[in-house]
Amino acid sequence: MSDGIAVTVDDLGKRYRRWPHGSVWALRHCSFELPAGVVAALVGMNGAGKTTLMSVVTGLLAPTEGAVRLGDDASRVSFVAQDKPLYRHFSVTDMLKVGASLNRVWDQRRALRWLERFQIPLDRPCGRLSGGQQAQVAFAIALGSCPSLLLLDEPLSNLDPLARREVTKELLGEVADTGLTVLLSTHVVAELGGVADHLLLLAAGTLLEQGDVDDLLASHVRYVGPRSDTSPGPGQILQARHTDRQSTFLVRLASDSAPRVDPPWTTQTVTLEDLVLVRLEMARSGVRGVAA
Amino acid sequence: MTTAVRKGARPVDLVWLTWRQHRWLLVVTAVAIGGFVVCCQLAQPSGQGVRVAPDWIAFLNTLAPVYAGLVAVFWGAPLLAREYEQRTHLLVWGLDVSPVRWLFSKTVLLAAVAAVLAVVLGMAGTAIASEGPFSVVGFEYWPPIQVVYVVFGLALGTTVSVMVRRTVLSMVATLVGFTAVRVLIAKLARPVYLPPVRSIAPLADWPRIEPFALVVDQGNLDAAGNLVPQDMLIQCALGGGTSLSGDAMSACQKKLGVTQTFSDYQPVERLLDFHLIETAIFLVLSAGLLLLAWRLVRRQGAL
Repeated sequence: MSDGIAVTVDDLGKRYRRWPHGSVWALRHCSFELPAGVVAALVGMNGAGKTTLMSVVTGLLAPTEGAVRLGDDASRVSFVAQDKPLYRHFSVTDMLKVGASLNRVWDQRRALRWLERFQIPLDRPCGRLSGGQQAQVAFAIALGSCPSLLLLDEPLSNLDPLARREVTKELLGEVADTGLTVLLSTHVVAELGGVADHLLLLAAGTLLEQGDVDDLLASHVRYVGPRSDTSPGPGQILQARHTDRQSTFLVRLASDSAPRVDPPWTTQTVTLEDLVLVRLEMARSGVRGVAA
Repeated sequence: MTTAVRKGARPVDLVWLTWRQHRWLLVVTAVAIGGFVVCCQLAQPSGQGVRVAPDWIAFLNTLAPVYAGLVAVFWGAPLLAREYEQRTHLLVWGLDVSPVRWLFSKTVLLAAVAAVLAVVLGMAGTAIASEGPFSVVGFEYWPPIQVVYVVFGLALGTTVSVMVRRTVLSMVATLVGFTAVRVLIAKLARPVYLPPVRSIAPLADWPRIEPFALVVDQGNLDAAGNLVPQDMLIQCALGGGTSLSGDAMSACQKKLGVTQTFSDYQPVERLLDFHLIETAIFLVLSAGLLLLAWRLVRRQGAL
């Protein structure tokens, strides 16, 4: 299941008309592929275009330009919106019935299993559930729809820390069991550690960075050593930091080069959080493209 | 395997969803209409033509124009606005049902229920309407016209809610729009659906009008049949003063050449034509609004 492509996004653009002030591009020249069976993180600050991108991929919003192609194995898409909307007067059971009656494919047991795991009372009106419980009901409906591509907009945002970890674990379990592809958006970079194996980094409507997380981390390195104005090793400098005695360079390596520095310089591996923050900082200060 | 695979949402599924979402609204409205029917029965003329409680009838008759307005404001206006406001449209439209199908299934189902209730209201109301077929209540209780009023109300509310997306704002806009359209059509357009019939009489007499006719205009004419405005006549008779005497009026009628008076009216035989014309107008308006809503929902998408 996991050798195909779940979704191909080709030069996608979405322009909103902002009457009477013309229009604004929320998304522009966005192209990527997601391999089937990955957990992809869509990272960006608020207003970067994450929700727009997810809505277009889901089909809730028509793109202004470009196209979204779902893979052969990925014909079913589920989307959980940021607010985890539910009908407040419906009981949880009624909400599942909404999923069952408006879907072509529905797995009641899978939805119920998710709710049982998190001990959600089925007979209570959704409006009287806590924010976290409402999120679980929204997840259950999305999973009951048997998606091959699951899009979650800020899925962990109203969960407490314990529930975050459990939801993450269960979601990864679903991915492992069913070959599900997940695209989840977040602006909390720290949430991503050990979860995402694919990164899409979005800023001001354009993709800054994308690819397999392991590959991305392997192609970036940090050199730490005595104060210096020039980088001691190969690679394109993304960030240079200096204190009185020490200099740190975060560099991107060319695909075939390995980091090598002479003592006293040392190399440090880069975390996903480091990389994301550096790239976002660069975007904010106006450095857009980085030649690969 | 517990996975159920089928073709998609069946009509009965959308019926269930509509009922589950709006059941209290439907029940309350149905109970209110039921109460109206009972009151109409109690207030009906007895054998001797004596009414049990004339005040009731006056009150009940004010409900005739209100029902469709309530449906527009409380059924139609929140229909999509509330979904947008609570973001639940993202949930349902993300399932295997297209926004257009979802919206129009709900609108059609609600319109069907509202129409049945409108027929009941119209039939019960017709029995107590005592003010003649062209009076507001007499004219508007005609059941088919009650049906097109509610259909129009729902279409207007739905379209406004697509555009406004805020429940309260949508309800206010729908109320204003519905009232404006109904009043303008009833007051300005209805009297002139067909060219009125003119009845002319010499000054000593009154123009003859058929019973139950809708009088559209009245005035003075000179011998050639040209209109002499009533203002001009009164100005002349006042002659700068403030009191109006019969003699002065007669003198001025002579002076201005007024020899006859007229009444323009719509005879009661035209009632059916008028009903059909108004029905057609509201059907066309409803169709135009629903077409607009359909195009907006398709174009706007979900955000």
